[in-house]
Amino acid sequence: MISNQIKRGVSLYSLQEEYYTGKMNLEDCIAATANTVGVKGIEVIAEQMFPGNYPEPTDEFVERWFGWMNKYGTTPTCMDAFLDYTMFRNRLLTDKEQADLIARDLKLAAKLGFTCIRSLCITPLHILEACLPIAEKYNVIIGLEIHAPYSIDSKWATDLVTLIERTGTKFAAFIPDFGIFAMRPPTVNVERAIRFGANANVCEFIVRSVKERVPMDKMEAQAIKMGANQQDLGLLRSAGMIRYNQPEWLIPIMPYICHIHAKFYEMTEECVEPSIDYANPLRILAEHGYSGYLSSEYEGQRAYHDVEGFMPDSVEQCRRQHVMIRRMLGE
Amino acid sequence: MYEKYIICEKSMRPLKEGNRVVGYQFDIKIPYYRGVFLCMIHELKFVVNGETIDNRNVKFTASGYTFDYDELDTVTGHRWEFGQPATISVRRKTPLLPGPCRIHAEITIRIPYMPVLAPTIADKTLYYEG
Repeated sequence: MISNQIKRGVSLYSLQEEYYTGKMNLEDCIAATANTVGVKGIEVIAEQMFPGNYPEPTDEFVERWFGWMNKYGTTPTCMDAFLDYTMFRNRLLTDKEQADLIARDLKLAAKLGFTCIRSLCITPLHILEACLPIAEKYNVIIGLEIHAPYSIDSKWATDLVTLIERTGTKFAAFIPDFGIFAMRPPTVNVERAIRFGANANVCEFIVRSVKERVPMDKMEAQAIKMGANQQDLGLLRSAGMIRYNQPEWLIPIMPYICHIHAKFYEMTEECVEPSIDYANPLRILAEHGYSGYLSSEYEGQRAYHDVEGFMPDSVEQCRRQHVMIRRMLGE
Repeated sequence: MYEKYIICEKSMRPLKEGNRVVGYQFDIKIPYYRGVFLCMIHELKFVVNGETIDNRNVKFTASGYTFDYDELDTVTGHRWEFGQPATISVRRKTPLLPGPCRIHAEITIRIPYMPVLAPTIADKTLYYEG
């Protein structure tokens, strides 16, 4: 058993399909997280589940929000923000306009008790830096997501570390997404590709090659030799997004991690995620004293949007994930 | 994303001005995992029973506000919320005949982290009762 200080939660992004189809509302999602998944951290995409309250929430909504937090014993963790610099058809937003969008999200996050916002990995660092005084004013950290194909081992990540160390700020940080620990194309995406006409043998070859880290050009040449069709090549291209990050790479950035997206695609009945390495990164996080949230981010539901009449049970998927995490952490 | 849900079941109905039928309406949900300001709708294309719809005849209603298709680019204060149906109103000189109605929709949203603009395509047959 590893002793650990890791806190756990769910990004309600995980429950998006139930919400989209009207099976669950925001309160249902919070209740399911607390009562069925059994964890207390609540992460939300404001633009997903706060209709009519983005970017300015009504007083009544703010009161209801904190009422739910009290009722279910939950805590707001991270609010996911976007940076819509392509808002207009005919021009990109200026730096000032982009900084204003971030400021607007920081203000909303503070009002609803979130301690950090997730900013997209495309956020320019000079804009992030310009927003630091506002982040400090609202006491909300701006976390840049490390999302595949971005990697911890990159100039992009080093540049943020340099910025944090140069400014001494406590308001810029990383939010690693567990997709960077994917070991293979997600099982559910392979099954989807096959439903759309991909060849099982070519898919198998792609999965094996990714596991063995065969370079993309070699993989592609061999797949074409095997008679790969467009669906096979689509899977191959998505496999090109997979960059297995060594879990040890987390160690030097550990002081700068404010939150973690526990991305997953499928939890089997045995509570196993077949596509992403959880055991090794979890061990590293526990051993090195990570004390922030590990927030479920279920993304397998979209692999079934072509299947009529079937919807995975996202709450159950999250519950299984936390069974796995507890087991791995020896809790 | 969300292809099978985009065109809302049982939403096909007449567009009326007073008692006069001046076209038809149906509802669509956003093919994305969040809501957006309407200016971020890059393009909408509809084909109904094989007839390509001229967007000059289309109005878009979301969260209680209605805009001409050409006005959407300027709308920064109203949103198409996640999971909430928007109504597409199509003016048509002659009313549609009652019966099954094939709808093909292509919806493109400008997403800041996507390197290419790509439509989400949805097809569904709804029943028009007239």
